[in-house]
This record gives sequence, C-alpha cells and structure tokens, in this order.
Amino acid sequence: MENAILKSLEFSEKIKYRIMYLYSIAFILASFLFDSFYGLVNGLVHIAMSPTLLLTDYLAIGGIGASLLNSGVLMLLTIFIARRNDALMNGPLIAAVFTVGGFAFFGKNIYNILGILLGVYIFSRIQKDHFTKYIIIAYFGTALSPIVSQVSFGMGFGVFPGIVLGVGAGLVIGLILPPLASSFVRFHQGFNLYNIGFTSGIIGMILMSVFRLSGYDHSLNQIIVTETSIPLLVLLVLYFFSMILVGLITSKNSWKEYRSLLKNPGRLVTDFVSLHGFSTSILNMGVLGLLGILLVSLLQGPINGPIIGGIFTLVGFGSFGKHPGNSLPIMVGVLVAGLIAGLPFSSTGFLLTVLFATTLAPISGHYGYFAGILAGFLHLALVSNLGYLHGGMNLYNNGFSGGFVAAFLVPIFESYKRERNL
Amino acid sequence: MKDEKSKLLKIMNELVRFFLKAGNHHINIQMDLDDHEGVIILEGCCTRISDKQIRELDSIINSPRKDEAEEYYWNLIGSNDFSELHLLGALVNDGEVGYEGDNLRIKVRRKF
Repeated sequence: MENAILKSLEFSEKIKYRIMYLYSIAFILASFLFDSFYGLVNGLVHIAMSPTLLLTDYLAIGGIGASLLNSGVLMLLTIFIARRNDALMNGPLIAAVFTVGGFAFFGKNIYNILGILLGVYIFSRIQKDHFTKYIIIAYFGTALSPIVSQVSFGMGFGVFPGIVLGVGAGLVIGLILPPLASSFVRFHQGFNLYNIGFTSGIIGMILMSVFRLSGYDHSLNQIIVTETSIPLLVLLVLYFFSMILVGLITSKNSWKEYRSLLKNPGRLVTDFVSLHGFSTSILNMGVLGLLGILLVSLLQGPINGPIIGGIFTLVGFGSFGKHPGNSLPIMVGVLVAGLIAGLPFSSTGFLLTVLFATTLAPISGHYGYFAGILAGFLHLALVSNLGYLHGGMNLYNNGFSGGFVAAFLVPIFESYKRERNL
Repeated sequence: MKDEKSKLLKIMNELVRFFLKAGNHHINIQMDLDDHEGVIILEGCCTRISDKQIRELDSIINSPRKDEAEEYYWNLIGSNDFSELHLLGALVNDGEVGYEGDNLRIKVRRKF
C-alpha cells in the first residue's frame, strides 16, 4: 500500500518537474529569437561581470536575449539541483525557482549565486543533514548575490583577488543564512512572505556597516530600461496564459478548487500545491502573472528587468501564499499612499513597490481588506528608507521592509481582536 | 539532529494547542524517544470536534513529510498565536487519530 502511494507520488512529481523544466527551457529557446549566439554569450558575460546593486536592469546590461537566457539557465539549474536532491516540487520550491528566475533579470546571474548555494550546501554537511532541508533557504538566499558581484568587480580588488574574495563572501553568507532565516521567521510570525528578504536585509545591513566603518561606501545604481519591448511583452503574456491553460487542462475541477484557494489567508506556511494541487496552483500563478502585467500597463510603466522580476516573484508565490484576493488590497494601499505623496505611478521604483509589497498579502488574508490597505500604505512609507542600510546589496528590499511592517502591525491587530487565537 | 528535541517540543506544543482549541480540560502527554525516532501521544477529554475535523487532522498528519520547508519554517510551529497544523504535517512521518465518546487521542511519529 505504502509503495503504491509512493509510486503515485513519484509519478506526479515527475510531471510537475517536467512542467517546470519546460517553463525554464521556454526562456532559453526564446532567447534565440532576440539575439544571435554570439550576442547571447557576449550579453551573459556582461551580466556576469557587472556589479549588480539595486537597481541594475539586465535588459540594459546584456540585452533581452541574454537576460532571458540568464533567467532560463538559472531556473533550469535550480530545478535540476532540486531533482538531484529528491526535493518535492511543492509551493515553497516553485516560489523559490520563479523568484530566482525573476531576479535573473536584475541582480542574479550564474556567477554570483553559486558561492551562496555552495555555502548553504557546506552548512548542511557541517550539520550532517541532507541539503534538501536547506534548499529553500539556499535559493531564496541568493538575494544577497550583489555582494558577491560588488566585492568581485566593484571594489577595485582586481579581477583574480576580486573573484576569490567575492566567492568567499558568498560562501560566508551561505554559512550564516540558515540559522538566521530560521530564527527571524518568528519576528514577523509568518506574515511577511519574503522571510529571507528580511534575513538578508539584516545581513546586508551589518556587512554594509562594516564596509562603511572601514571607509568604503558606494551609491545605489539606477540602470534601467524605460521602454517596453512589445515582443517581450507578448512572450510574457503567452507564458502566463499558458499557465492558466495548463491548470485548466490538467484538472477538471480547477475553477472550483480555485475558489477554495482564494479563501486562504496565505500566511507562511501555506503550500497551495499540497492544499489545492499543482493544477490549481499553476492556474493561480498564471492569473497573478497577467494581473501584474495588466497593472503595470494600466499605470503606463515599462516592462523592464526589475518589473519582470517583480511579476515573476508574484507568480512564484502564487503557489505559496499569494492570490488576487489577498494581494490586491496591499497593492491598493501602496497606490493610495503614492497618490497622497504625489509619487509618479509609472516609475519603475514605485511599480516595484506595488508588486513586491504583496509580501504582506497574508495580512489582508488574515485580518481583512482594510488591514491590507493599511499594511500597503505603511510599506511604501518604510521601504524607501531601508535601501541605504544595506547599500542596495539585498535584492529583496521589500521583504526587509515587509518584516518590519508585519512585526509592527500583527501584535496590534491581535491585541484588539475580540478573541485570542489558539 | 541537534535540533530534534526542540522540534519535538514544538510539535507537542502545537498538538496541545489543538487539544485546547477542541475544548479539552484534561490532557495527558506521553513522549518516547530513542536514537531513531520520537513518538508523541496526547489523550484528552472532553473534546468538542466534528468528524470532518478529525478526517482533516488524520489526512494532515499522514501526508508525506516535506523536508524542503523544514529548516526554514520549523520555528513557526508551536511558538505563537497561530495554528500551524499543516506545518506539523510537514514535520511528522505519520500518525493516528482516535476519537471515542468525547475522548480524543492523537499519536504522531517523527523519524530522525
């Protein structure tokens, strides 16, 4: 009986992995529509050797084709490592793979993530534990990959010493991330979906403070594309639309199950794949992807690298806590705050906050729409004040901010509830 | 391995929370450990719980263990004001739920 269950589980895992492989290979193949082989290789080299502080748009550094290739290769690598370690393709893993794929458009590349992955792997060996238990931390932990790039290519050490020191910095980060990530999750009680973003913010803040103490400092980057490429936009729309199709084709009850998914508060740890199935989860991911594109288009923003990263993170967490019901109130909160502050809605920085603020989706899911709008409002106020602390070296700056907002609001909301939870 | 006792303690806390939420006034707890696994058994009365909740709980504690989420999230379980039954399901290998009259008995097993 147990074998039969395991066999059916294995079969289903095979299909899930194949679908994930297809989505990564799709980007690799699509890259050849945008550039020649030489152009792609040249673009990848430029991407790998650039300091990648926030905001560095890889569409501007290496071109659309190389950015797509970078994203596809990183997703393929993360899926392959997960398969080799017999990890279940569930919500947290899907979220991690798509987050890595999204940030491969503005900050992560094949060079700067490897040291961190290796560091977490060594940590698991030191603990005499299986790497599978740490794989999510390793993938999300690549949020700090700009530190590797900055030490390697942005601090004037020279190429060889820079690479040695940069990779060494990645290893150290990988060695300290797991205990910190596990500990900091209690700070926001699971109401900040980008928990590693908060952890990475603390690490980045401490490292940057040490850098500044030693006399080193740098300014933040602002290398972004301001025009939307229509072929890229069409590709992304097809990509997300295909997710909806996959969800509908592979299950007869997808829409019915989807209504059930929409009732979830989404607090960590809400694995939609385990609770509602892979089909419903990928349907939700596709819906969120199209919602992200629609929102950016309505606000007349560009579809550039960082924005694609924001949309992909929204999509990834469509299997792990986010859905339109708990995400939209947060977005409305950011928009209201932006309106009052007179911020330009079409700017990349503002749109990124709208997309990434959904890290706080569990607050609206758990405490209601108004709580979500308030959380979004506070998030916009706070997020712009935190980038300086880590010198733009934590790619998940919104996760850093979201941790503080959640830790600030949740105890207050809990105190004024009529009944204490159990 | 060194966190195994802490994890068992948190799993126990989560189960105690479940019993309290189900209206139990008397709860007996038994924990057995050896080098390979830990077993926790809770028995309590006087439980107010529906058959649907019993089925859900049985399904959760017998769902496949999910190592991927373990090191990232285990600190959430049994440590705050929120139910983490699904996370409990990800941390245990299997279990049993028995409900007779108004007495509830839950057994979970976690291999090291």
